[in-house]
Amino acid sequence: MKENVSEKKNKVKEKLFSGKEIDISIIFIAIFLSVFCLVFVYSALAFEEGASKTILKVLTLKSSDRTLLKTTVYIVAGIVGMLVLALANVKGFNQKFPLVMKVLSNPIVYYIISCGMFVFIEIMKHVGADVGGESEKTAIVGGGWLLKANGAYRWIRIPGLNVSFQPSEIAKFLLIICFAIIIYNAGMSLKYKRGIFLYLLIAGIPTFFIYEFSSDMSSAIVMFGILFIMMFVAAPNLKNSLLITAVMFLLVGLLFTGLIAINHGKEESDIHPYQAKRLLAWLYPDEYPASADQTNQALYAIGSGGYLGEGIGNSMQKIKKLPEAQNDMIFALICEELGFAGGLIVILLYFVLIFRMYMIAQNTDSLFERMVVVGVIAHVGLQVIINICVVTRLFPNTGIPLPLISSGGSSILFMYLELGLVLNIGKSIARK
Amino acid sequence: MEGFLKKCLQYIHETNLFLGESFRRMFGFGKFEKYGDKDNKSNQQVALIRVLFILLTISFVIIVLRLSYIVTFKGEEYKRMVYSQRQASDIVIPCERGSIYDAKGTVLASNIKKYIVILDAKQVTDYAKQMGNSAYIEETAEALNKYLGYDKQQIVDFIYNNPKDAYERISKDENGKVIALDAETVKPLMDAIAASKEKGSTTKPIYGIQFEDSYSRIYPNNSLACDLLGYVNDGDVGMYGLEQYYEEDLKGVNGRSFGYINDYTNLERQIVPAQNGNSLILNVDASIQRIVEKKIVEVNESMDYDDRSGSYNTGVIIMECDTGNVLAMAGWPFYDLNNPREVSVDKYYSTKQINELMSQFAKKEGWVNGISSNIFIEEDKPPYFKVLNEETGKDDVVMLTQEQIDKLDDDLSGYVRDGVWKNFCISDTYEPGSVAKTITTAIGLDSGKLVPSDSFSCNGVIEVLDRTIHCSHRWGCGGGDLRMCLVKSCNPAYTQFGKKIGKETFLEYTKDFYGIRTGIDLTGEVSAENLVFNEKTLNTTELATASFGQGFNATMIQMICGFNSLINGGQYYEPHVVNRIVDENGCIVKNIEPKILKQTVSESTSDKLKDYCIGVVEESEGTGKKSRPAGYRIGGKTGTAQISGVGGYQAGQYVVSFMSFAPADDPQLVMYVVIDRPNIPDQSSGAVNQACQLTRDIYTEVLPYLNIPMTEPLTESEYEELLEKGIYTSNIVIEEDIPEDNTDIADEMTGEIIEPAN
Repeated sequence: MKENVSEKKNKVKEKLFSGKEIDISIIFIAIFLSVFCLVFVYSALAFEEGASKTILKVLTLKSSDRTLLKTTVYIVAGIVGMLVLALANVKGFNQKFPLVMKVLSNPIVYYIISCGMFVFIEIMKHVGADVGGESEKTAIVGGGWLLKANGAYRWIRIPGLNVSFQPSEIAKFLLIICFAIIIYNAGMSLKYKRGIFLYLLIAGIPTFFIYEFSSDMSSAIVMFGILFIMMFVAAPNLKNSLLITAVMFLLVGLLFTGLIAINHGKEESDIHPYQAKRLLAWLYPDEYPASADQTNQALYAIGSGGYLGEGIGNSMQKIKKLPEAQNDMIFALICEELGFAGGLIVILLYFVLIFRMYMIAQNTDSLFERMVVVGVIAHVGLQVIINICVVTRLFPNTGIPLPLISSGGSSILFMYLELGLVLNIGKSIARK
Repeated sequence: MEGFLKKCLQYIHETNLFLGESFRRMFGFGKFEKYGDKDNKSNQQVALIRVLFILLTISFVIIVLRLSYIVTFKGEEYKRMVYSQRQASDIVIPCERGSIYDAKGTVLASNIKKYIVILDAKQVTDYAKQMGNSAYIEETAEALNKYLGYDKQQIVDFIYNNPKDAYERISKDENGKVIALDAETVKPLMDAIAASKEKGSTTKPIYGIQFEDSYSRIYPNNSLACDLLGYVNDGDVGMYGLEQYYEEDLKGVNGRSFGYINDYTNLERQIVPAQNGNSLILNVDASIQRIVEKKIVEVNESMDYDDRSGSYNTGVIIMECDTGNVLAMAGWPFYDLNNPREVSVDKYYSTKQINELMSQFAKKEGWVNGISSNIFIEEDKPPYFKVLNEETGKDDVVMLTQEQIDKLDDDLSGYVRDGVWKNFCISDTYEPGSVAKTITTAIGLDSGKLVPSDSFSCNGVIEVLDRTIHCSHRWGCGGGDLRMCLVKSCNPAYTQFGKKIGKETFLEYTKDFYGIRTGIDLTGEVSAENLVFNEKTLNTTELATASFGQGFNATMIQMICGFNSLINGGQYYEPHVVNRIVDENGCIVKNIEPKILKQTVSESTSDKLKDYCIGVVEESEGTGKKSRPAGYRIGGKTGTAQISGVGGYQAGQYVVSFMSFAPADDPQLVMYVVIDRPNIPDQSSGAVNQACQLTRDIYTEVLPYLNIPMTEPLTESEYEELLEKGIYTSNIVIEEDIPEDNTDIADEMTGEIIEPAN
């Protein structure tokens, strides 16, 4: 009898990793976008040192904080991480490490880590002393634990290793999982307005932390957007969720109109001057030339690229005119060098990526898995749309990277990890 | 009422229960029912995901439409914007102007690095914003206030008002013109900035202050060789002298740093490095120049009379006999090359002269007329003119407006500046006087029209057509042979010699000497060709006066070059100030070799003339006796010339000069000293001794400096004089002191030309 049982157990025992059914197209698109990333980050940075434009030189450029090298390292790490997550067999892990999986299936873990990072920033901001400038643009503050740029505390830095990461990117990844579990556990509550309010309250706390503690409004918007979309998809009573959505849009619209009405025509304003200026520069670019300059330069880049572009490496705007050409404004650079065609290709790639994920979301049976995929779709979709809309002046200026193409570390790594989750979920569909 | 409260409590209780339950479920505490049929498809969710996907797709379509709109309708406009933005990013890299060195390597003109202070408001604003602390802006303003004395509040205001301005030159003078500051001035600030950015610095880092290099001309010896060198104006362009003549060699080419699109339309930062100017190495020896200038100042300071000191001009040229190289050249008054515009009028002109000049300018402007109008400048009163009214016979008073007075002041200082800046030795003409007799003599001997034995008996006066020409010895010098006539500088004799030489021969020869540019490498040389006789104007009277140096004009450089050829065997050298041009590494770019332009007279003529000139200094009746320096034999010729002006020759105003060579037996140096209107009570007699004395003073120090061995025994007083000047001589025999013959001082008195009454 005993032998029989153990035999049975052995039979059922799953492998830790399996990967026959993986959706290869998502991997290809992701890698293709990363190739775009490397080419254009290189292009954006190469001019800085004049004639010394060899890849080796740019990789080790000190003046640009070795952005290209860092980006390359994170892309490789991201691809490895994506494959590990994609190939992992959840059932196998459940059998082998039940305790770990139990902890990992509890949303409170993700929630505490996410909020904790921002609380840490807030504490270090007040406790730690300023250390000094790291470069012209970033400063090391908070006793060596924080990096500050443009008045925002977007990075946590580990002093000994001199490595820094963006907690908002980690939080997005963790909170997608966290809220997928929450919906899986208690989605029925969303049937009622009270339940939706509770959900939004829980989602609002980390959003508020990002906005208040690290002064990173754009990440907060994306964060809340992702969680809101997840709620909207999951809420069983469409009437309630639509009502709340409408009310929220109304409130945001009122807030913006009020802000514009109060500040328009004033030299300096006391109420959110920074945001107000960006809003006004978006609406009245001629009246606020200084604030509108960044977007104007992006538009010049796109316009001068024409249909087929100036050719890779031939951008003129990247030289001292287009700020953050390797980062938030990289889409303008692509449009200048590859033209409308290049921009269209990038948008199509994102479209296909989202379409593949949409197919997975449509076909998965598990609510949890569906919500994770919806979260990732929302993440990619929101960032792509906001980024490109900013560059083409459809939205007011706000700094959001283009997923997988903008240079960076944490943003690329965790975007890959999210894709890894989606791929893993996709395996179960193929298996059916 | 009670019912409503109960309902409310009920509702709150239910909500609490619901929220607590929901929260508990959400975070997975305890046991509970999962949401719906969790592992089956929810149709509503599938539909909503589809809606989400469609919304995303619509967004993408809108973006693509927007992109195509920009590219299609705005493409051209934006492309123009891209190109128009590309223009202003050039940066000039300053080049260094070439230096000027003397023959021994002494620096006469060089550059010092200065710094223009740039306020980069953008950098400091960005930094302050990033650190969230406006104290950094204060810090920058504080540093500028502490080290350079700028107004702190003004700087802070500027930064707040222009947060995007990355390039504002703030080092300015009172008139708001951008100037560069000395290294010593900005050094403390530079150090403070560097220290504040160091690791472990206790003070806040100072951002937003930058320094732009700039070169500024400096003349370490101030006024030394001012007329030779010239100065550099505010636009770094050479004015006068070598600075202007060699402008192209000295100036260099500014470098540039600009954005540049190569063949692959890659934009690169292209740097064209600055090409520094070439340097000049002169024939001039600063030590000799210094001796010459010192002596000129001494002699001018000694001429203190009529409430001003010094002559109008004093020029000295020393030239090498066998090369034509200029060893020294100075034209008093001097000015400070480092502050060329600071020329004070009072220093060079007496009040009387200033009034005369101002009257002249006022007449030229037409504000006053009449010959006897004079300006009166009294204290506490505006200047006014008194004009003689011919009808009433009284003086009318003409008042001037403030504008007119300012204009007169400007004219005056401009006039004085021009006079001071120009090089008297090459730019001023005057009637050379008796020095020209050497040339007349040489012409006569070389052409054979005169022989050494030609003699003339002088009784003090001679009539040439309608003019009476006096000898300098009013009752006749007695004359003698050709040599003695030159030694005594007898004017009547030379009228006769001129006649003997004849018009054609005289013209033929003199065209090598007068009315031509010598080609010296300095700016401002005049040829005076319109002030010289020609075939039409050289009639009997003119030939007579021209043969003793009156009636035409010449420049100092013409006279010395001509005289040099007479005593070095007839070779007329082109005078050169510059020896060679070298680049910044010291490699020779151009060597300027001595150049013989023409053969003026034969060698035998030259030998005879040398002998005659030695006679001028050594004969007891010689006019240049006082010029002999201790321990050497020299030769020379004096000159005292009347000055031609409005209404004929000016009474009591003379140009005295002495042309000389040394040593007598083997001439190495030629020196020409000219004093324009020496400021002494009676210029008519003995004034030439001022020139002789200056010659002697200069030779006394220059000849030992050049290590030319002394050939003559020294008297005790001479020995003491040398000791006093710090010149130590060995193997010199000290002779008995021969009492000087004071009874017969053969001063050259002026030989006046009395012109016809009309």
